[in-house]
Amino acid sequence: MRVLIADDTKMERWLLEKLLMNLGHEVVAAANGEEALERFKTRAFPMVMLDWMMPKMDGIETCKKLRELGANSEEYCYIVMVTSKSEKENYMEALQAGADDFIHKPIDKLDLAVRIKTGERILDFNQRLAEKNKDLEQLQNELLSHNVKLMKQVNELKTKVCQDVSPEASLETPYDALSFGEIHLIECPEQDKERAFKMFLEDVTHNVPGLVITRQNPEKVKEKFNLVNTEVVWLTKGLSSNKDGAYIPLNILAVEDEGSTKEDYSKNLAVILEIIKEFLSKQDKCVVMLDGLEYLFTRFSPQHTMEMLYDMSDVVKKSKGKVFIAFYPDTVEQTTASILKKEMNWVPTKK
Amino acid sequence: MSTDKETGADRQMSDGDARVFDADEALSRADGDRELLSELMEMYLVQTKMDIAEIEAAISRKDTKRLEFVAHSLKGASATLAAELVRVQAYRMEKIGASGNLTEAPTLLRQLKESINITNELVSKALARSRSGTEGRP
Repeated sequence: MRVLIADDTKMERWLLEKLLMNLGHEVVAAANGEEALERFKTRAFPMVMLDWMMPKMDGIETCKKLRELGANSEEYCYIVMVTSKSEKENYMEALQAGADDFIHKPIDKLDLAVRIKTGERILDFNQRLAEKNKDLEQLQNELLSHNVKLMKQVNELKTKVCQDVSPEASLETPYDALSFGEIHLIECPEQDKERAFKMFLEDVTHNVPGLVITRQNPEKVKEKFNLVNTEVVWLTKGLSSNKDGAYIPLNILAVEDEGSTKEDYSKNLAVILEIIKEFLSKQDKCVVMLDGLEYLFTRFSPQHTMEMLYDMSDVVKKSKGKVFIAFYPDTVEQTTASILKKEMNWVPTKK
Repeated sequence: MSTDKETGADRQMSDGDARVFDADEALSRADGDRELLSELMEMYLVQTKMDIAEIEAAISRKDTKRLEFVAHSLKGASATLAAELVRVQAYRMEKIGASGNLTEAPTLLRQLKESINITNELVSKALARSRSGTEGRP
């Protein structure tokens, strides 16, 4: 092994050099820290042995500089401080400066051989670790490359599925992706307010029975979306139109009726859940569209609405139906929105 | 002190001399290499002369940092050559330098000079024996 030694005392330097050579090492000797540093800059050494007290630049300072030099190097340099007993109290300082080991003066050949062997072992571990890291890095790059390819393939497949199922649909989320037995919270941005309705229609046009709960006039909703095979509940008027279009008064207080109280509103939430529950229990595969979440939050208490949604989630999970909730950003308070996104299947638009 | 008339080429010094300069220990530290030990002894003779002159100058200049440094170096060289008497006194001188109080320095300097003279006499003899090829032969 190539060893760089630094000692200002000529005879000690000479002895260390000869002992190392007798142990079969290639030695370069420097008379002080500065000289050692210059030698190291010309060519790095796997092992350096530094005398502690030296003029110009002492062992500690040299050690720090060597560590700075090797900071970006892949090859580790093992640094041994050559010390007298009086310097023992400063060991911690040397360790913090980057020293790996210590050897006492006067140097004993056996002791020297042991230190060198220890150093060689550490250097060997370090070398193997560096190789493993390199292998891991390569593997990581390969994985990344595979992932990119896979993502590309997935996107191509998604596009193909979208086109196959509904060539005219311009939905970001494929039809099949929104599974039954779940509540899907559909983001409806300003530029695509009817996104949730479009998704709902995907199912309805595939002959899945539908139920719409909305604040809007059912007549207009039906006309606008050309709804067939769908029941509509008018949230604000307490009426339900059946498939044939006839209105049926619900056991629900129209929330905008004069004289309604908060307590009445809470009862209304239970009725809404009951309507959904009943619909889901009657059908095999079915789909519910709830439009007016922000209305529920503001008209009824947020706490009661959240409780109703949790109950609804339990009901939906046990059924073969699915529920779409139209979610208009900025209409629901942010903390509540975060909880909803976490608890339900959040279907954001592509950014 | 040893004389040149002692029996056994391997043991040329008395036990008292060995406490001043232990040639066997020095040879062991030189990995049993007599040639290397000779080189070290030559170096020691030169270094001690230079070091004691520097120590004297540092004391007269009241340069305690330099005194500590040179005494440390002399201590190291003496330890390497198993020159215990000088090593111990050099260590005391190093401590004086580190403390910054030079009151005891002149007295210790005189002792150190004397010790170096005694040690160097023994080293010179050992070196002469080594050069003449009698050292280590039966």
